[in-house]
Amino acid sequence: MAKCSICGRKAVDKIEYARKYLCSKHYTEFIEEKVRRSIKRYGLIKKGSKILLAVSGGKDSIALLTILSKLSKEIHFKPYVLHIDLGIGKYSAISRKIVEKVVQEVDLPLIVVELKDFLGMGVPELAKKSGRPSCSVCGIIKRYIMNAVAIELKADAIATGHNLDDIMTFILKEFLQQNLVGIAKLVPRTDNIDNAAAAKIRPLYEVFERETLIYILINKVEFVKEECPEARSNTLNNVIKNHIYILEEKFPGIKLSFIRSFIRNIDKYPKLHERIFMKCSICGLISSGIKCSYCRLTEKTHGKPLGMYTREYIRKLLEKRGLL
Amino acid sequence: MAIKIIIIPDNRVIEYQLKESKVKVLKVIEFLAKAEGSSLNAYVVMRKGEVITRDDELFDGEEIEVYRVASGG
Repeated sequence: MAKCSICGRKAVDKIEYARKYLCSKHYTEFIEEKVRRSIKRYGLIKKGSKILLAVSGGKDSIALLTILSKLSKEIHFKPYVLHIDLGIGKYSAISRKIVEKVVQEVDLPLIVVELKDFLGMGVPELAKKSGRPSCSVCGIIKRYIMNAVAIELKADAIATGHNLDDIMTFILKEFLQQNLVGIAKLVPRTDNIDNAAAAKIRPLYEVFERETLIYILINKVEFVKEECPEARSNTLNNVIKNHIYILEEKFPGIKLSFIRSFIRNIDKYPKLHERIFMKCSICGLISSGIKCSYCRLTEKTHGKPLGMYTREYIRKLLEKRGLL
Repeated sequence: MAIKIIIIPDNRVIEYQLKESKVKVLKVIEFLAKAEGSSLNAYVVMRKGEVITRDDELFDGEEIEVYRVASGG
């Protein structure tokens, strides 16, 4: 039986890059300290700020919620939880139930935005109507709603549960496609742009995906174990991620050293502000063209762009909850 | 002699045949990683609700849950 390198109790895992075994207590402390350091190192959260946590119910966002709800008492910031009910049958129903339960346990304000409530349909139907892949539709909708809620709520930032493996996968994918501007966005924090795009933070930037899973398993926090029925396997992302796992196994520590070197070299990539940002002519939120991708999508599925209508719906929802 | 393995998230159940009365978790993960073309780091093992390391031993008749770390959400 492997023992904790700190206290000698039964270990739950060996952190290869740190060359130590840790028990559940010291593993929990290790992960929380990693997040605390990332918040400090990258200036992610300021005292008194309002942070919107995007929580799907999967292991990463549930780990984010658990850790930030603890750290909020230490750093003195105000967390709000956003869950988007995507209307993907049983999967969405389970996800929502789990998020509601975990949020109740940590006693934070929860905002649930239900697609069927204002669009009349969920992601599978929207994908069918628009002729686009479900994951693409889901991405457009989630990004739009997260941003719209943060803007209406006047949140200082949206926190997402992207872990180091996700970020490294995105960086390598963008590099393979030579989208260098896309790479420049993969930093721990992006700033608010003229109240059209809320600031985004990634507190799990240096936490491995394996670590978020072990963290919530040992702390016995409920999470969505099922895979999204709409998700495809064998995507470029999945193949890259698999190779990242193999790399880390052969060369422990390579992921951390990569991400820190990436941050040191970030100025070598074209910066965000060098791009021309536009506001959507319909809804006023961030857009790469005259109309944002959400307004273009809803124009296809509903015959008219629904950005303004969605923002109004969110505003009323927040007012009703007494959050404005 | 065998160990029952429940793979999560797909809830697939497989049996790992033992050559001796016990085996290290590492051997079971190596078997899965080889079958799935994946890394040892891609799995986390639980026994009776507790996370166990690759050095822990498994015995005939035991049941474990193996979590695939990277799953689509």
